[in-house]
Amino acid sequence: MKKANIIINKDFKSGEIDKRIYSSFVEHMGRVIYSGIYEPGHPKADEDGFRQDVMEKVKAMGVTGIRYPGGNFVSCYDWRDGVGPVQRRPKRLELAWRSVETNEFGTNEFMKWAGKVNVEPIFALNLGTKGIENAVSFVEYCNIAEGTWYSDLRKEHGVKDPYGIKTWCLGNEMDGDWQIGHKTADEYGRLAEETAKAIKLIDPDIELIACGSSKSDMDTYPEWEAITLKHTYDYVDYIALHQYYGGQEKGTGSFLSQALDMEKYIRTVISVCDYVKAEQRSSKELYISLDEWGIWATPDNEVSEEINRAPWRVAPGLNEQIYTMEDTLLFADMLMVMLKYADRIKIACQSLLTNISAAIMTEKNGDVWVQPIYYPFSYMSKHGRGVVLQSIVDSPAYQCELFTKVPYIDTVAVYNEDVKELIYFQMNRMEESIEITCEIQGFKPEHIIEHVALWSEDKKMTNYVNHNAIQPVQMEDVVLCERIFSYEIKPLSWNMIRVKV
Amino acid sequence: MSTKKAKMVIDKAFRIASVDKRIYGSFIEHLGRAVYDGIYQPDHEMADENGFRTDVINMVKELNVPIVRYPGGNFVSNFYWEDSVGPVADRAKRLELAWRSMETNEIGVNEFAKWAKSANSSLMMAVNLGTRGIADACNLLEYCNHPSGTKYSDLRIKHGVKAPHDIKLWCLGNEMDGPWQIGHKTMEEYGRLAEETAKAMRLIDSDIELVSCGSSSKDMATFPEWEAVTLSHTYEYVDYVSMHQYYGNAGDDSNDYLAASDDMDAFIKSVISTCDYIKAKKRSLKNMYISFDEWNVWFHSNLEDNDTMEKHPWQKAPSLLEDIYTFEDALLVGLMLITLIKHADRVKIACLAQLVNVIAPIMTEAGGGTAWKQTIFYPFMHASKYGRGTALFSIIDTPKHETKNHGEITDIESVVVHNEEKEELTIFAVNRNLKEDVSLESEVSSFDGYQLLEHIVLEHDDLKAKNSAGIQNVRPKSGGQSKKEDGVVISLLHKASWNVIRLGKDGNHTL
Repeated sequence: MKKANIIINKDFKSGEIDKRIYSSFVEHMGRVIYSGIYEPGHPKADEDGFRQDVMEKVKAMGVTGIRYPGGNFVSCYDWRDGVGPVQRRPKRLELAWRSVETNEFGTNEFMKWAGKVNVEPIFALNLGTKGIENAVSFVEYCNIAEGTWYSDLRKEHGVKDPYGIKTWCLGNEMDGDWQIGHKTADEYGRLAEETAKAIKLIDPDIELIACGSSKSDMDTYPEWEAITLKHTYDYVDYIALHQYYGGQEKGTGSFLSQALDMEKYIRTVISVCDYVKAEQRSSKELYISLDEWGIWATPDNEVSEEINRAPWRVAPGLNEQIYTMEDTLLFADMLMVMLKYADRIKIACQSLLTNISAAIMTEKNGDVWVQPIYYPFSYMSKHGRGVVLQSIVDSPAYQCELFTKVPYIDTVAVYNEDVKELIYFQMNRMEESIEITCEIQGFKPEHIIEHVALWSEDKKMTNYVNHNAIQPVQMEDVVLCERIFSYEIKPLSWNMIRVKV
Repeated sequence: MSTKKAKMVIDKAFRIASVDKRIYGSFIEHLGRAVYDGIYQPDHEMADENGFRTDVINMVKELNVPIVRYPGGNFVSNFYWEDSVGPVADRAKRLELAWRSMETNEIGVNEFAKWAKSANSSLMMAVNLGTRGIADACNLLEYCNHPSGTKYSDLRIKHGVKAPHDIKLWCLGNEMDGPWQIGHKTMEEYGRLAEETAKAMRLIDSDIELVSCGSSSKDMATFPEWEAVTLSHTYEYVDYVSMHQYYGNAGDDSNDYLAASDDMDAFIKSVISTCDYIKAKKRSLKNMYISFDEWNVWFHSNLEDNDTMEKHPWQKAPSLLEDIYTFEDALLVGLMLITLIKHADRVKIACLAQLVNVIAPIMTEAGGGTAWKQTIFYPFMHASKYGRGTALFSIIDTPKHETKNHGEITDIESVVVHNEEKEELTIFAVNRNLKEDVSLESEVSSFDGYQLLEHIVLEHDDLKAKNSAGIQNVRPKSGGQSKKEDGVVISLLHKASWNVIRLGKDGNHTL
């Protein structure tokens, strides 16, 4: 059996985890909202039409924040359409997904729902078809107490207290030619700069996210970051990264190796930020908001075919991707990679929350069930809190189409001082077991609290037919001896080991 | 009042990188008395058969300098290498524009290669991309590295050098971002010229490594655009980007002066970020490394130098850049060395500028007296001697103090190097607090069986103390206060001191 050795040391820390790294994303798209989180008339709906069965899953998933209302949707959205008396709200052609948006659900409904599930809102502004005026009026509507046109309008809409929404995205994926109102780097840089300046005049405590690249293989990456940040550096707090990985057809080894691409992507964006920091003679550090991430199991052309086959439907079922065990491994690994860069990644939004590339699936008028990706997210959100420790990993490795050296084992360790726990998240990219040894320096381990493993005999297994086909299993196989613990990691498995120290 | 405390943790598993020995390189430029009346003085009693001073060579050997950058510097940007090869009697005298001196060309690449060999060093050669270009760079490379049978290789043989010099490391010009440079270029101009020169040179010898000019200091208005634009041209054809940086205490604020190594650290990080940005932009798989090929303290001699160059130009080997270093300069040199070692993963070459007489650790008395060691000689010697092996991450929790321009800075700066081969561990540490001693507790328990060997200290009551031909006021002494208890080394780091705390495995060493 192959062997891997991992060393951590209490004093070698890499970053404090910001709980907002466990955020998700709700977009007006497909059935994310309508018949996803919101379905009046459903037996489990509450007085506001919110599905309580879904709310329970959201809470148990440990989602800390939600980005809203898009996504591509936002680039053609006027927030004014989604507030005020519901019967007077206009139906709109929704261009991003070629649907009809009823606007039944808008800002105030979302904020009420967010309060019920206890998540922090991250709002996105339309810098596609709109601009500074639409953005500042929206911020005024949400955050000013009273006595002005838009703050009084909010009160008239029945919301007395301002929301104080702290985090705002300056548009969405503006580098993408698919974006409604797509812009060049210079055009976006200028617009984002001036919008940011205006918003900070309203509320200097607001934190702003500038659009970065939509994925690591955009032609304009990383020039986009360099050019736009030269405009926005002083006025924004975060740069966005978006990334979805597909490529299942390339085989398990290549597919899973994409976590290394993600790491490279993150490191590069950090480098570009630090380059612009030096260029601007700034003393401020820019942070990363990885505010769309996930696995893409459906090829893009199938998605657009589905949209074009029957456009202008209300809440059509779009991209309701079903995840395999293999998908789940890369999904979990993406989150593990983010933890390793917790010093710079402060926000991350798993995309999306319900039904589309989602962990939580709903049937219209029916049940809610969870995909296997739900589990690593919820365990990491629940236990992955505290300080990330650097790991020295000695693992056997393989070569694939994309990378010459991919370690079979990936691992990240977190120290939670409040509960005196060391939490390891580990995965095996190999289709065989590997013997793992973990040396713990600087702590006195007392006992293993638990070992949870997620795997399947069939890597293509999903929870679609049998909703419980892939579930975490409590293991009793970790042996702790003084400062070293060891176990055999299952083939193609994701694991969490908690050690009391 | 009890002594302030700092704690440091190292763990042999947490490594930065193997230290490339070339970070202990230096630099000889045809400038002032570096060559003539420095390394070369045929009529000196210590001169060898080639006219090289053996006393100077011995001191260079003490510093153990694996590479020497040559022949410039600003000098190279108007240098015609053909002038300095062939029969010495036939060599042309030239107006040397960079330093407004008279260049006799008595020493050229063939002589210098001989010198480097006797000093146990090797050459890092620079080509002129100021007043010349691709053809002359190629000709020089052909002259130096091609075995025989071509115009320039045969010319070398005719000049008595049968075997090629086989120089593997070449600088594509010098400080081309600086308006003072003869033939200064914009970043686009330099990027293009360096790219095409690099491509051509690699056709002659595919084993050479090339250095692309970076910024002349962190304060250049074009930094870091210069790096981004020029590397966008040269990225695939070069191996290193250069960095240059000098510091001085002209404002006489010693407390703030010693914070300068923090600026150097930030400078290195920014250049790494820029390299990695361009790597992604070029979709390259290759890492760009750093050649920090000019660094030191330089400010003492500025006024005199300007006077000499303006009012008394065209002298042969005038006294120029003869900074006489103080004790505090040695502390900053130590801090800069620590900073370089901390970046061992990316900084693969560094050249202390310079080696003899010109902003140098080694001085010779003008007109043929003795050679002597400046204050900065010692930290460099220690780092070069003991700083070989693997640089380790050190987690340090240190008291801090306020400075005028750098805010609050750390009292203790430190780096640790593990020499696996010799089973030695060396802690380099500077206490840059000028008022208070600090007790440093270094947790080294992952180094089983390692015992304290010695604690070397460089310190002086007077920060401005200098050495001279007669007196070594500032020199290291053994017997610093360190003890080892279990896995912890406790060292008293006196205020304003350079410390080298050495440990070794049982049985290998005697105290």
